[in-house]
Amino acid sequence: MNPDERFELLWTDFLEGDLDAEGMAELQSLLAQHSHLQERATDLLQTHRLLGFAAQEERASTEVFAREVLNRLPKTGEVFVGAVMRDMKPAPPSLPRFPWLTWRPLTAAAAGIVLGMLCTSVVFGYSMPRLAQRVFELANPGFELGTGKLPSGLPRRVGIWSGDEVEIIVHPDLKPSEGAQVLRFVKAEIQEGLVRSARSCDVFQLIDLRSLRDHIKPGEEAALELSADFLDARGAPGPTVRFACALMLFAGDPAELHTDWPAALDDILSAGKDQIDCGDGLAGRWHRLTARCVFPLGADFALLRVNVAQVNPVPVEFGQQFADNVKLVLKTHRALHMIAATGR
Amino acid sequence: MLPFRVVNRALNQPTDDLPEESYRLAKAGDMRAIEAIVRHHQAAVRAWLAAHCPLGGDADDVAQRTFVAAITRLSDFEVGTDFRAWLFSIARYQLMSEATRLRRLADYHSRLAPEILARELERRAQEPEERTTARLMHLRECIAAMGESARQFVQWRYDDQLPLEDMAARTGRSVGAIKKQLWLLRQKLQQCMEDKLAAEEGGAA
Repeated sequence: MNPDERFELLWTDFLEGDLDAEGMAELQSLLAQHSHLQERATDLLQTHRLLGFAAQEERASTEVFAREVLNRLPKTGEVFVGAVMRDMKPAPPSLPRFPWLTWRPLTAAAAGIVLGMLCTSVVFGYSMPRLAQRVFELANPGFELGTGKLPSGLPRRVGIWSGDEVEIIVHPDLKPSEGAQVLRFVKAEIQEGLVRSARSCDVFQLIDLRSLRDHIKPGEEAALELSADFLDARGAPGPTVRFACALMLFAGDPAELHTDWPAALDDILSAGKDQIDCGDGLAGRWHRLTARCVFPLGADFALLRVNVAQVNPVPVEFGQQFADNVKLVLKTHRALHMIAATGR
Repeated sequence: MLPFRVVNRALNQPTDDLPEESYRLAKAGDMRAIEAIVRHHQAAVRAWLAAHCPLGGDADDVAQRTFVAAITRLSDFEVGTDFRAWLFSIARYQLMSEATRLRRLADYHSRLAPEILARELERRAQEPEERTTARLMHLRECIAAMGESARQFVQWRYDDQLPLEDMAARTGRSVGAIKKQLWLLRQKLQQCMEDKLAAEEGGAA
């Protein structure tokens, strides 16, 4: 077998990850002896990389890349950017309602049932001596960018917060859990004309998970962990409210979710939720909630939900409830042991 | 359905056609202008880094660090000068840092990867970046011109990242035959790309 034929075999094994130490030594030797093979190998390596890039670009779009870059800007930059954006006109206070809102009672019930089933039946028991963590850079995780009301309705693209009537504010008398601004839950919304009053004030963000897949090595299992801080700042005890954070994972195009809502709830691949009730016990201090769920390989995107809801029939007027410091973490491990248990 | 986009908008724009106003606004902290700049230049930077990143390095991570470094140092950039050249000088610096980091790690890749390749990649990183952009554009054209069966293999290997065993099972062939097929496909694409580059350079001459 001449050097070129031998190079063909060794090189293909190298690119496919099948080359052992002995083969690598032989390849090194071949390259050292034959300069034309050095050129050829580098050409082929670059073409191999460009093929990989072209395929990767299909999965991780310009949109995702640009968002990840912006989210990686240093904190000092964010403060500067936040200051700039405070001067910008906030979103209009009342945008046209989306059809999904007509389904709110059904949606809330269905989501509650699905999440309830998943969350009461699975509790994570980690046995992770070599757990790897990677923080996913959410869009505006601490609500430090911009002020004013957020867009209304289920988000139609990744990287924005939207939902019920909520606003990003600087509160003169309130110490944020981080940064300078907080999210204020203003009002639970529901389609006009319905007899029943709205019970839950929600804000959502869509997350493209495809870029995270590259951080999961073959044979590893992965979980997502969503956490957020909540504060009930009512000055006196009142009707119980329920703070919650939840994440739901789906396959498909995140931009299409709103068109198939709430039927899409039937297609949840994985979900997790954490919640806490508050009458007066939490007043004045932030409380952190953490929701977890398994990250199946087929999941393309996640819908994050941060909300406060009325628990009892007694109506609650929101406005003194706040959220801050939302964080999403990918956890991977070669053998992620989940212990199934009931109750939480 | 084609497994890859045949045409990439940004890659077909070798010159920087963003208005100077975008850079002025970006320097003033306008996030929309910054985002537009990232979108406009990302494909060229990512492709160049994909082609030159050392073995074991994460090209997209280096690309993100390049843009973060550029944005945080926008005050150093003079509007009216060549932003793309300035950005690539930062990309080159980030690439060298990544190569140094990997050498210091002395991990699997840096111990076992052919050092000659690493040196050759570093040498090529000093060449004009337009060549990588052109190569990627021609590569897409070459893929599009392939027969359906060949394109299927490219999609399985690079888009779907199927193991060789799965490709063998799907085609009823041995793993060895699949390796041979991939070698031939890569050779063919390489040749096609080089022919196009040569024709382009000949045309330019």
